[in-house]
Amino acid sequence: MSRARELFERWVEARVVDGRTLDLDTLAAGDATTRRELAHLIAGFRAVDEALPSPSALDEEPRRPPPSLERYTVLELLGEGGMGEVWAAEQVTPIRRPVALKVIKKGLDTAQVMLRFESERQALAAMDHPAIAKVFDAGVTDDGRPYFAMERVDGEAITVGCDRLGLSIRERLELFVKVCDGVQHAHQKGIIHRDLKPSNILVRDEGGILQPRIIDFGIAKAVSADLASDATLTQLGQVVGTPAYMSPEQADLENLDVDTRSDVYSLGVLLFELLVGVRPFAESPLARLARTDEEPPTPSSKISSLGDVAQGLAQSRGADVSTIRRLLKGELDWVALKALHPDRSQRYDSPARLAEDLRRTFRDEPVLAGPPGAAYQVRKFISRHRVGVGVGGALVLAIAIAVGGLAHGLDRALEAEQRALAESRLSQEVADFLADLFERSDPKAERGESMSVRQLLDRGARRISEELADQPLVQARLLLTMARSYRGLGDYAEARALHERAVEILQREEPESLELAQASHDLAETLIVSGALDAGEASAVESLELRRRLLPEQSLPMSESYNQLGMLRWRQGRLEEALEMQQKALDIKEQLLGPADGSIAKLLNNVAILRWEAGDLAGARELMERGLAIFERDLGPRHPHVASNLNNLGLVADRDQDYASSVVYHRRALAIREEILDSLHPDIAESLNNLGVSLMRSDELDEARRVLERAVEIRLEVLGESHVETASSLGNLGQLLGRLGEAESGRGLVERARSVFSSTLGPDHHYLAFVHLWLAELDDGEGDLDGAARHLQRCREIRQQQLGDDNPLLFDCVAPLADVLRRRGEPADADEIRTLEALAAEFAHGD
Amino acid sequence: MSEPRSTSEPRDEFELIREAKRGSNVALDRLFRRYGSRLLGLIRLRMGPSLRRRLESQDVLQSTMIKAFERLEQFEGAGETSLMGWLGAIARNEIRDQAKFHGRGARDAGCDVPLEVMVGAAAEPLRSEVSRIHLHDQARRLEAAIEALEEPHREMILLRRFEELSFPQIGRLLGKSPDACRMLYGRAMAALTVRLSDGGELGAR
Repeated sequence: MSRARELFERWVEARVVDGRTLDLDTLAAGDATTRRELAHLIAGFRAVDEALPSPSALDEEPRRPPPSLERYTVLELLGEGGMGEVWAAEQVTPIRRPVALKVIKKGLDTAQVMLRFESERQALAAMDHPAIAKVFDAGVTDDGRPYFAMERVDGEAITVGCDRLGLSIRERLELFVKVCDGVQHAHQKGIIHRDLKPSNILVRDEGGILQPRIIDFGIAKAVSADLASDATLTQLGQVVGTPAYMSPEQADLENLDVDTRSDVYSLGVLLFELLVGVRPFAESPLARLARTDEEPPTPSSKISSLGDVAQGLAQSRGADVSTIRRLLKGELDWVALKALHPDRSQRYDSPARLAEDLRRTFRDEPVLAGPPGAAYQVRKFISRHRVGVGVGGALVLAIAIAVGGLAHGLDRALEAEQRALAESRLSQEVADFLADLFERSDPKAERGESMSVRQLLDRGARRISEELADQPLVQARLLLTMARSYRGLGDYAEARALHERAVEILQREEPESLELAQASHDLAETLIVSGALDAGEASAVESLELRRRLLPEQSLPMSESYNQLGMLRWRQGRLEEALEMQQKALDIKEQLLGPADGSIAKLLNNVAILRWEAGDLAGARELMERGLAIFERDLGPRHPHVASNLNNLGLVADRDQDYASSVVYHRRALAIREEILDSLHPDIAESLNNLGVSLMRSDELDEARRVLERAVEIRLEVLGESHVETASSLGNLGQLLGRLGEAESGRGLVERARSVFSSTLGPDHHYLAFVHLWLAELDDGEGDLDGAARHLQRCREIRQQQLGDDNPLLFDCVAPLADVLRRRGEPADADEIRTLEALAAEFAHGD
Repeated sequence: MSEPRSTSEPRDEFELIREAKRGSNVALDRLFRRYGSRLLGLIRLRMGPSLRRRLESQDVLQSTMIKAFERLEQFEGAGETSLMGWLGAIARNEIRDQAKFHGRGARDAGCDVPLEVMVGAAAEPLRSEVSRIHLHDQARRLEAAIEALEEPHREMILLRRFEELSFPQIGRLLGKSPDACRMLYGRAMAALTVRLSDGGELGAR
């Protein structure tokens, strides 16, 4: 037996018997030939292991195999996280030193990760700061995963260390300031961390003083925006950033990129957690975006809200709750709020500024942060006065956007100092106006009554034109804000009028600006939802052209424009163009934000639906599953979007003839809708109808009948007899009754459906093909093969004419027609049968 | 239904079998997709080339599945073993019985596997499902390599990987200690790897 064979057997035995992975280099002991042969055999072992049916003996392994790498001796597993594993190791060449190896889990595009890492390597090497753990190297393991070698830090997470040692508020702040200094150093070298959180900030006891060490610089960037497989999708929250510590702009669709202020936000969360013991928000930024009326709490109010828990938290800070509250109230509250400001332009612009302000509190000097300003008060005011929660939320969102810099794109690329100044003045004026608008005493408010949102808006719109005639930019901005609010209320006419005025003003004042592009975009949106497609198209194209002149192709506003045009094409029935546009929008967002970013879920869904329409069922399903995972993560399992997504998945699975899955999807959608919607809501009827059809196809006829009858009941009640959806349910039920041996009643229902379809959709609409399909089945059930064949022929003709020769729906009539003709057994049909069967096979194969 | 995520998981195999027994073709289809080709692979390997010349492995698969349907209650009571382990045990008996039967030289077409005992509703679709299961090329190469292993090695891989038994279960079955089985399994995997590597079957993947 060759030397390599012998060594290989030892390697396998170690692995199978006691779960150890022996090091390739140690085994080969410097013999290159042996090493090569051994590596080949080990690769073979992995292949065999994968090829064998059941999921491998490795399940039983006490621990995972260490990666095998040149130049390193891997020692032990230090930890595992969403991103991958961390191993203690020893670098062997060129110098001997202890390192921590972070091995990224499978599923990322290794080449891309390496490329992004390389782009920062120089800057990383230039970092030299006691609070920063150095990243030495990066490479690829034998099994193709990216790894990073960094300084090994023996320490614990900063929050854990502080609590274990019972550090006081002051001691915690002093430690935190050192963290800020480290992050500042990195920023000066051009490195943004992007994933600051306690487990990436370790502390060590050095002579009785805790010293922080920040790990993982450069790694979040390298692994972000990249995901090659679904397997890691659900963990993406952990990979690209930890939602709880992530700044809102990382989730916000309107922002181009993440900058140093995003790290400031994460530091704000950390500061909050060090002070209070819990994070300001329980959930991810995206879930928060869905509820925009939620202000970050102040540390002092948070600790008051914690009840009994606060006692223990105060204790580990060496004081009682009321002392802690007093320490936090005021300046530390303000500092935390400023660091945590949802609008980054309102945050500290650097970690150094944040640290400075904290140092001022050490010296009892007044802080820069100051109490919350006008914008904050406006929002507070509105949240106190808001009318209906939903509508109020929309308004608050609109106002918040206005205050925080409505013109999302406001040319960050230029970012000239002057521009920034002008911008802040503009924001201030907008804020003042709004504050004044809402706070000026109102007779009703004084009587303790709240005004309706509509009244507030009307009053605002009136005053904008009366009082701001000499400040056109402020006026335009407010008009846009108001217009959005009107759109939110469903008053499209008013929204359109205000949008058009804003666009006019900007065309005059700022003709080549992103702000104008945004205004045109908004106007297009209003026009499109109100059904004015041609006018909408003109505005949308205008916006796109302007953006194209001002921005790179790979930018979020461009993505938004493509998205909008895609939706428009869709409504116009130009599906191929719609798919092209939506795909572009998706590609850009994935490129910029990563494939599991919350804001791409809807796009995933759109592209999925368009692919589905184009017949790509597997592709559609994959995208929808990705969208579903994002929605469930960000919106919770009972959100209407989750239900819609499940409904779509059910339809695709049904089309893919995977009826069992389809039933499951529809049941889940139905359960959610029944829980959150009124019992007569049309969406519930939709779910019932779709579930009924899938049950019928799964041969669960009795349940199908109960379900479809409920669908018909609701649709008759809510939509009426002459609605297309009611008719669809009637037809489906009719088909089912035929299968249950009640052909006569079935026929009656199908005829009712037919008359609705032809009167509302016209005699040539492809929905009539369904009628023929249903009638064919009823005829077939009664032994009338001639009738069945006739209806199937008609169904095929309609679908060919209306949908084209390659629409997958054709399969539904081609295959049964072949079957019916064969059973009829007329020799004259032989050619036709052959043609049909070939066609059917083609469709089946195409799936 | 209160936890949507959990309902999206593939359905529980008991439930699938029960539904298939009640006549659901969908459930039957699922079961076959999940276990059919693996069970066929196992049966072919258990039969070996010489028996395969006399006996259709697909017939054995079919009768194994039928027996499994009939004896469902036994499996639900059996607790410890995996479904594949249980199916594997039925398959072993089935191969033995049919080998004896055919060994007697009986080739009477009328005396085929006892399909009649099959629960009515599922019998017809079951037949057509069985005929759809085939082995892929890769599985064929793997099969040849496993077949060429020494008997104890082959047995180890069949029990561990095809029947999904744990090492303690295999130990009880063969009267060996779990550690001895583990060791033997390691050698079997090494031998299998070497065999496939030598044949150039495992190029760059």
